[in-house]
Amino acid sequence: MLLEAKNVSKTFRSGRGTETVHAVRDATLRARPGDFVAIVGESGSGKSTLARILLDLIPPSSGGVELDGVPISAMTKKERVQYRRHVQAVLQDPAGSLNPRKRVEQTVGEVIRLHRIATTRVQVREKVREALHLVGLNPAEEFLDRFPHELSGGQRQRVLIARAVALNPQIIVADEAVSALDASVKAGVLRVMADLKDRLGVGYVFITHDLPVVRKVADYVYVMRSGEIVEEGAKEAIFADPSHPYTQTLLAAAPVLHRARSDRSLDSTAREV
Amino acid sequence: MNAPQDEAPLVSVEGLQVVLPTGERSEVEAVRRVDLVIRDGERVGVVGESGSGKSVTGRSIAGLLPTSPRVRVNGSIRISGQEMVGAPPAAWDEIRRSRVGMIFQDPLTFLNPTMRVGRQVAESIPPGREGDGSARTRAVHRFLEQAGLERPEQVAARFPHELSGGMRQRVLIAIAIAKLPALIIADEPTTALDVTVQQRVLKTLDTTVADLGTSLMLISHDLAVVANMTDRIYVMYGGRVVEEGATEQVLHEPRHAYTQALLRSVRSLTDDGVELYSISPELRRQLAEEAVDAS
Repeated sequence: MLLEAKNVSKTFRSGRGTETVHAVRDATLRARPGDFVAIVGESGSGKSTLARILLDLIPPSSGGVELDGVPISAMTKKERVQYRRHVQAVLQDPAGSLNPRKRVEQTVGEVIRLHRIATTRVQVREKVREALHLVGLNPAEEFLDRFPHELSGGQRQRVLIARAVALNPQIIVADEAVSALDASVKAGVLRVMADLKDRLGVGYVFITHDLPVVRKVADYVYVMRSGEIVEEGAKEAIFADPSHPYTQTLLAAAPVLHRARSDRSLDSTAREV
Repeated sequence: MNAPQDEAPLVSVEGLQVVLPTGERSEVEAVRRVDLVIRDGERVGVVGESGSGKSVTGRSIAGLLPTSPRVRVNGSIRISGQEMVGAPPAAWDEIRRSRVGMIFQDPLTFLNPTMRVGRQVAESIPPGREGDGSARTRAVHRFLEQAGLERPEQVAARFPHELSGGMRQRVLIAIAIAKLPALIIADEPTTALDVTVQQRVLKTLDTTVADLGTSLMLISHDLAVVANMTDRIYVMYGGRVVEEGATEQVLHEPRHAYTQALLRSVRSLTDDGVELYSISPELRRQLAEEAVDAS
């Protein structure tokens, strides 16, 4: 299976008569199940807009998204539903993406029912349990009846991943899915994601401004700036030998805690640049 | 202030306990018997995850806890020797006017959206200190410039929403330094900013604090940020200080199990060939038991 964004552009108009904003310009990107693809860039780079286009939440102004060569725009209603099942979203701010009045079981269960993965109450509950188990919310019984406010930030993010995973997706588009989390919790959620990739062959389009994390988990990296993909390549190549000046700036700016005792505990660039 | 008080540390917190309401009948002990000292010109970091009590500790020192009869503060907070726990609001106003400046994560909630930036900086200058009229305006521009904002005359004429996130954070720095405070408390000052902007804002904070000889209390969940900016670190967990020491020492020879685990997880996110590490439920249980024993 291949998910492709082909020459995608998106323009917005901020008001009547004002200039158009090119949120995404001519972006081409590929993702496959089992691949960890990252899109990095700062706020305003267009990476979240590209994510929304990939998720079929907004249409591109030109260009298109294709799944195995079939453009979304040419899909039948049924194929589109299938598409949304195969390509799932995990977005930033778990508190905002979860209905505060729904318990975990309902939150995860309703998508299972909607996509007819299971229909009877017993079957649905079993599927929900499985999904919670997969993301490390164990024992599942302890979490089924909880409301979002009764969960920690990391647990809420896991519920969102469970909701995505419950549909057996091929690819998960994760937009800043771990950015707001504390280091330890972040490591835990990333481990869950890596584990799902290894065990179920889930692929990721991982959108973030957090370069150290990308270096740790990604296979392939796209760098976006002002709506354009300015550089792409295998992770090793991007980090060892970034060719675009913007990528170099991004890499230099990321604060990293060093191991060596001789370093003044942090990337010296952070002080001197 | 008389002589013995001048020799007291700038901030001395002893046995601080803060209880905050969480619901109609529930409450949480957000800060549990915290001891903390900040000396003149010192840079102190407070690190911990969300819910560790680091922000509440910072807000306590600035006298900015929610004003509810259900908020309880016990222990002692002395600022230049003056006891502030139980002090009247006017005393806190005086502290915030001239002694302690605070910088928050989200500048938009702090800045007045209907007031031009220049006036907001001007309001933070004590009356008479810089003179009136054009002298005062020049001082405003100077502080904006010191906070790393180019063309301060133009920035001063803008409203907060007309500035970028990085510029707004610099305006907060300008407002804080305009008081010429003895202490700046910065609570996650760059967490909401892009990495390249983050770096520039930290650099600005670094140099302005150094130029003015101001003490700094930097509160963040980001160990890398705190490590670079401070001389000494307090590590908080579950409302308690679990470890305190020179920054270098805490980073390289952490004594407490939580600090060790925190460092391990931070490094696991960046170092090659290390498995991603998150703090185990066992350790969290252990820490909870330790907290019970300590109280």
